[in-house]
Amino acid sequence: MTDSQTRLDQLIAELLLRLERGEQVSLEDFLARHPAEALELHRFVQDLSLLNGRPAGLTDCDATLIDPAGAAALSVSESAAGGVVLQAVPATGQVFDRYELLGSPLGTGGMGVVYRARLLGTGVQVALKQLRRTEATEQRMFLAEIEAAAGLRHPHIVPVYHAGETDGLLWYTMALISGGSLAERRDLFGCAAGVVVELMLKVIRAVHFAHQRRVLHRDLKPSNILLDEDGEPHVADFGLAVRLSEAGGVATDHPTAGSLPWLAPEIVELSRLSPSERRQRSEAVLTTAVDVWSLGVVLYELLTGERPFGGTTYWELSGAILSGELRRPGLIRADIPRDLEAICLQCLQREPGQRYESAAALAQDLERWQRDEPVRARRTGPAERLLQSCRRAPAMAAVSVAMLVLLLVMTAGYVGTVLRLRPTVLRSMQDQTDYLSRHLAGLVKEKLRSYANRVSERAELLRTIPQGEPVSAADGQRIQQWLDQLVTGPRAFQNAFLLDGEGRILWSSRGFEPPSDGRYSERDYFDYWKNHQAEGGDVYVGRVYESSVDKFDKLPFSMRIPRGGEEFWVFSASILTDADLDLETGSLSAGGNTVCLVAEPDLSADPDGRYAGGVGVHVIFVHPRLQPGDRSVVVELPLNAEAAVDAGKAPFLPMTEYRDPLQSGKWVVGSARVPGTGISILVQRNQDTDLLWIEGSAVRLLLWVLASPVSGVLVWVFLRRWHQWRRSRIC
Amino acid sequence: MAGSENKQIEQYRGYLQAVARLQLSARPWLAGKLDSSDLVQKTFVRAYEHCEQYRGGSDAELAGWLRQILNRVLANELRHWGQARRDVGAEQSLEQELDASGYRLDQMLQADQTSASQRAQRGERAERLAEAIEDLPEEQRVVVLARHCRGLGLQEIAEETGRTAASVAGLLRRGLATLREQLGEELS
Repeated sequence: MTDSQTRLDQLIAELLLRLERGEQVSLEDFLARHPAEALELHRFVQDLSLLNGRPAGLTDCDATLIDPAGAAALSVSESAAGGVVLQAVPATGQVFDRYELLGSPLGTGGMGVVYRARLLGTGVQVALKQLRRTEATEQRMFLAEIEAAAGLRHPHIVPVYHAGETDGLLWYTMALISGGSLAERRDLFGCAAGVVVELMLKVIRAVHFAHQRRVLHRDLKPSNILLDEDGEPHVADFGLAVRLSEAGGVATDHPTAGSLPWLAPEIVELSRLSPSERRQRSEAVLTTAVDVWSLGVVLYELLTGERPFGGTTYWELSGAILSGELRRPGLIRADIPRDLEAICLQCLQREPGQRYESAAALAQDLERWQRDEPVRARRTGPAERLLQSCRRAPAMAAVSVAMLVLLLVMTAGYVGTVLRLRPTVLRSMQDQTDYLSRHLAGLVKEKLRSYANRVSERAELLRTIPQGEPVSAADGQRIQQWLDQLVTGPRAFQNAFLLDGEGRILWSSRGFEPPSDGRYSERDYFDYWKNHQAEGGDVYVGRVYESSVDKFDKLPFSMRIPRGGEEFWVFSASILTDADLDLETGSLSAGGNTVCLVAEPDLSADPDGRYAGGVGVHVIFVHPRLQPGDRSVVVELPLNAEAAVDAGKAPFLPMTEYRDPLQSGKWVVGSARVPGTGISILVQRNQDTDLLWIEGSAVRLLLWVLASPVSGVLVWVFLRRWHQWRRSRIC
Repeated sequence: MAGSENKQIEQYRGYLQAVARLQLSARPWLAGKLDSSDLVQKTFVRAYEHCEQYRGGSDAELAGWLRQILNRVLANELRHWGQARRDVGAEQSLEQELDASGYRLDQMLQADQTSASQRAQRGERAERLAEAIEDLPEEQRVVVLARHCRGLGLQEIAEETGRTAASVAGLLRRGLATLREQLGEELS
């Protein structure tokens, strides 16, 4: 055995022992260090792999060292110095393993090159990624990339087809996504929010799919989102992907790797620490929140067309990310929906714990936005939520609004009709009461005539008393008898008396005892006759006066009794104002009507000043509510000026809102004067009798209109509570 | 398994024979005690007895199943000869160890090639590999099989054979070189 062979065997032993200890050995380095034995070493390595198939045979050997098929493609050339230069020479248009490389590389990254390749013997085209480096760390990461990506079968993750090692180069093939990356599609940046959300949802769902399989992507950015011919996005490049531990964290040699514009602040922070501190803290820092941040940056970019953080140098950009200060998307583009803006900002929270707890939570919130539901990222007021639910169910909202509008229009129309109808109804009521009052005026006149007739009868008798001489005792007795007869029997007066020309009472009926010194020449029933000497005929129905003897209000009937020459007596008989006059006003008042009689008061007989006031002051002396013994009631009524000229006109102006002092309600009043007297008849008709049914129904309708939305809301709240309760029971 | 399938199993006789020979060669202390043909015969008897257990479909699975039976037969024989303790690590069951070495042998034999022509050549190639290995000088054969069949490391082989690591490496280098010369065409 030669020395050189001993030397070779020692080197082989060293190589094998190192590999068996788990060390990563770069064949390239190893051969370069031992140029004299390089060729034989290389041959041994090839022989070693003869008996070990791929890839299970790699278990006790470093991956790069063993590949029988690699021998042909490795160009081992002896340099001038006698050393060996081992070089990988993959080139386009060349067969590589079982693929033909087509054209120039599609892309070149920090670690690898991606070719378009064709599977030999077929038309199948794939993307082939080669690792260009042979350092153990890079190889380990490349294998991790293959492992991570190959374990993810998802419609929006680029699928890995095949992996291997050829010419000492690790490689894998994946689907060829021919639409380019999102970064090249500038038309999608700042396009319609709906399109952006639709696209991002697929990406986010894919990222969540990876997270669920404990794979953290760490390098999400537009250039790693590939689009196929249909515009469907596919997450690519799991080159930095790491496996999450049970606790959610991860340990890796390169905790701070990633592309700065999309890098979460906690990683930027980490990169400013010393390597040992970095390793200590990396596990806590690398969580799914890192990917959520990157997704937020991409979402921001797509929505606004700009990146959230600016800066031309590394330090400026990392400073901006660490500051957490960014422009609200709405400030860049005013038409970005506020909910989307909030979702975006929720992803870009400085503290990882304040971001969405998972990519799925982010996706759910975006879906809520799509469905016009309130999003988690932003609290909204009830009005906005109502608007959202209207957008969510436009047909329902339209029907509800139409119903509500219909209801309101109908109600408004009805109320309008009622309001227009009101004066008409009132006018017809007025006409009715006017008519009735004129009719009753005649009746009352007849009733009063029967009283007047009795007075007139007695006056005829009194006229028989001889004139011009003192009344004899016998005549006096007769007069007394006549007067007494008036206060008894049917149509009885309350009192009757005879006054001399000075207004002193000469005789009075039994039971009525006026003071002996009383003078009543100012009384209307007396005063009238001072001015109407010539007229001897008719009984005068005077003004109502308040008796100074018994304080009752009374209606007087008086007549002049000539006593020769200028001498005269006045004969007067009165009835109490609460006398019904046999009008049976109670029965007339049926059907919502009230009939009452009012009379002008005698202002000279007003010791308590009750009659003071306007010219329209009247005394109610017949009223269904007026009981015998009650004091009469004074009321002021609007006088109709026309009645002073034309006695046939109503004495009072038409009233529709009359307040009866003896009963509640608003009254429509018609009036008529009893001809030849100061007495008027009032026919009152309660407004409600004719207005209530139409106005009442309008009010009821309004209440219904108000109640139906309220009850709708109550039913909705109840159903929601019930649904929540049920759901809580199922869970 | 019907008659046609019996015939199918028969196709693996050469392959199993080679595996059995290599398993025995890898354990030189068994030389003269066990016969590879004997082991294969016992394996086939068992395979016919238990063919209803077999559920796999592919060629590789059938080969694997047969190899498993062979290993069980071999394990029984080893126990019978009181070799179990010597052959088995404390933490590794005998059958697991035999399965592992059988798997490595399969790697050597390219058992995962599934095209019809390759399958037909399997037995032949296996036999030639077994022959080539058996033809190696004993020292080289022991080292090659210790590494590639039993999966031992360089250090372990050195301890077992009482040689230096470099000397084991040399035996391995020369053994592999010889094998390549004999079989290189086919294996690569």
